[in-house]
Amino acid sequence: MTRARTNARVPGRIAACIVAAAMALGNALPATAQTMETSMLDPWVPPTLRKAAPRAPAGGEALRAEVERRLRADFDAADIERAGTLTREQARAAGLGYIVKSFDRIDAAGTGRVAFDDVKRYLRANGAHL
Amino acid sequence: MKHGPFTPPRVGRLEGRKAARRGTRNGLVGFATPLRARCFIARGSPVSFRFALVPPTPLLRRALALPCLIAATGALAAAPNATVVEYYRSDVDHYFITASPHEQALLDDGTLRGWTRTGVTFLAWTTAAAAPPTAQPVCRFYGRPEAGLDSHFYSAFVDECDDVKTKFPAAWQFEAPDVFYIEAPDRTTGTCAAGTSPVYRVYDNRSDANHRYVLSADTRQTMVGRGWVPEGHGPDAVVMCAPLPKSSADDVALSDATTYSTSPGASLVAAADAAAVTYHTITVGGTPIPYAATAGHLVARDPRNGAAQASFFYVAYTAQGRDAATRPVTFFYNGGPGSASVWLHLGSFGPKRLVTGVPGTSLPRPFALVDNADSLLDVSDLVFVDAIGTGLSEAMAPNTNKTFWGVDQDAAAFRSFILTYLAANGRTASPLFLFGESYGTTRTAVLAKLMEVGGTSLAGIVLQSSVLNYGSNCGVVTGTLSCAGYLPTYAASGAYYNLAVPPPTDLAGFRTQVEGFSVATYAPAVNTYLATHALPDSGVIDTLRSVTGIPQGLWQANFNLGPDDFQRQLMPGTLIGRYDARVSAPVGSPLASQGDPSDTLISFSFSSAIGDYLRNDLKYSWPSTYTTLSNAISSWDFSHDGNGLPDTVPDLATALTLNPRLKVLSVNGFHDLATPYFQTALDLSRIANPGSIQIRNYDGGHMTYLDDGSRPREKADVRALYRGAVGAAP
Repeated sequence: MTRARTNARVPGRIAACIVAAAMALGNALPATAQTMETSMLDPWVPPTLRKAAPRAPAGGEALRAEVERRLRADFDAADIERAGTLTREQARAAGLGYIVKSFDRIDAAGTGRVAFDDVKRYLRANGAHL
Repeated sequence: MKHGPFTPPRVGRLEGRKAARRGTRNGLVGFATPLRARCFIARGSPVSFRFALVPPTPLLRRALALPCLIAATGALAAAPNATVVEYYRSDVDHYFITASPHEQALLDDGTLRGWTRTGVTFLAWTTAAAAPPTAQPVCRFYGRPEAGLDSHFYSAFVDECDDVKTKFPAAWQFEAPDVFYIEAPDRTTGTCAAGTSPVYRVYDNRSDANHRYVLSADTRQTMVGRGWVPEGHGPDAVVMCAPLPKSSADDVALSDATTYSTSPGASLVAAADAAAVTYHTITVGGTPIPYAATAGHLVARDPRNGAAQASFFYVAYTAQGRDAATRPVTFFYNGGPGSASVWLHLGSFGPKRLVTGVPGTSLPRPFALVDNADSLLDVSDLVFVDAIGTGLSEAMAPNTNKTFWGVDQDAAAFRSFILTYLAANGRTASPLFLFGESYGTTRTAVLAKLMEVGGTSLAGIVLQSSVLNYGSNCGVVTGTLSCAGYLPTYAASGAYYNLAVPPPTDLAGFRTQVEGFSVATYAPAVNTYLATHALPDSGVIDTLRSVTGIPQGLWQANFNLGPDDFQRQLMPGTLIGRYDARVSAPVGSPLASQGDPSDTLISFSFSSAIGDYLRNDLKYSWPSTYTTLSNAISSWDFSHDGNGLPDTVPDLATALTLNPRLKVLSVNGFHDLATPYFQTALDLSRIANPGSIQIRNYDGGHMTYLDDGSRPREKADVRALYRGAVGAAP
């Protein structure tokens, strides 16, 4: 087993070691040489990304509002007719399975279309903090 | 189930006791063989049914044997999906068997008190539909306490059931006609068909009429030696024939000719869903669990259009004799990103684990791979899956590995794999759990949201050493973020080396005190320091010195102390581990040479063990390299939801909004300098669903499960999560 000697903070060298070791091993791999290992960095990000100033994290009520904003954005993206409501098929086409599988319960009035407020009401009744 | 077997017996009337004895012992003299009757009923012949009502002659037996044999051969395909487990209660000297996972859970967790597993188990089927046509329903009676019984009786012979029902209604209450299905022995000889094993019945010969049903002739003899009486058919007194679990004789090896690559631009043009399947047994909690290990590849397909995305390598451990409708399945993955899932696979709760001796450094390396008494196989099937471009997982053309090297791309591919796996293995009804570590928790949060939005509900999540928000970990985003969330980890680590002054006697209280100091005093001071470089008064510095052991001068020079510096400054001349601060080595020593003694200590053993284990134990061989860590991290697309670095707490919150029944267990080590336990708690506190999230921390580092003291505790907490998530529904 070849131990890749790397600087624990330079992943580029890890990659080089992997390639070199793999080439050295070739096809005739002995029983114990069929795995590669290097120093683990998790969690780690490349230095250039560390400048990415993270947004102030939302918590509590702000996070609840953030969750609602995201769900509403997904809903609106699925509403290709800009009708303010979705049919079962539109929800399915957009991959909103959570609406599809509960469509009849969300669509309590049986109109064949659900508004985001209907979805929200259903999730709340289901116990969601929304 | 009645609560009967769990209450002490009362002395009943003599009549009841007599009835009990007659009922259990005379029932063996019955009518025609229900086995044959059922055989013909299943084949739809009313004439045969009439035969079944009279004792078959030897000629008839021969004539009937052939179709029954055919049925039995076809039955071999019906894998047993129930496990009968025997329990014992010492205060009343009673044995009890049940195949119900619900009853087993109530007995195992002490809801029904006093019962322990004896280690005796045998396989069966849950329903007629799941069983081969030859299998018989097993009826259950409860001997009423007022009759002095308070015990259960079982029979695989319909006529015996009917006999007890009609003759002893007062003493024996008929509970169910089919608590499980099992084969029956030949009524005359007691012989069991090939592929099944005799189950013997012994009777305690007491007024309380308790019975045991055991697989072992030795156990039966032991009981006879204690005055118990054998009951059953043929000279060996056989009452049932339990299907045998598959064994190593059924192993199917796989020599995979494909060469897998973890290079960014690599992809496979074609891939087959092929795997080696081997059969093993692991004993957990005194109960042997026969299981299948499946090692190989499965092509994950995009749920939207069916397009092949990647050939995922996985190792699945599936217990035999479990019902897919109730048996949980858990997907495990490490992080990196770029790490194969070898750490969880060979270190945590799989059927095998490496004995590391952590935090000690004295065990010879490579470490030994042993049976894991803390395996989670007693509560869940386990699937260890490698991310694309790690281990032996590779993208399928026209994608390349790099196509999936991003937060959202990777999570979507994992969703595809999980949905494909569930559909391919008949597990879509199984309670579904995720168990990710480190970056794997980032993946879990995004994946959980994707699954819930897509309409697939998760039952539970284990977050092992979380990094949910890359914007809150000052060891990752260095220089600008506050390290206040690390302070309790520094204190726990300093205390480990007896550097805290005074040395804390109550470690839990000490941690609570430091956590409070971090929030109330240190965090605001760090914020001021980051903004103005102003230091707080000396009292704050003195407190930092006393709780961590880091001298005042170092705090004054580096008030927002990061984990890298802490590793080097806690003890001059010594480097302490990043993943486990309890592991240390002199600077310049081999263990310290790569920057983290705790990683160097274990990584060679894990990477060397996985290859031998796959090849020798799981009979999967391949020509290329199993890459425990690829270079995916250097080109990973970390952007997510409009941020350059991922904050996945909103994803987890969204999953909990869509599925409020989802249970989350967050696990950290007190001595982990990579993902500090208190920062995890702060991140999770943003979610206002206190009932959904449990936080448990243990002695140990990033891989808490390596610690021999913490692993059983973590196992117990994970087990409790499963119990709470799957619920007590029968």
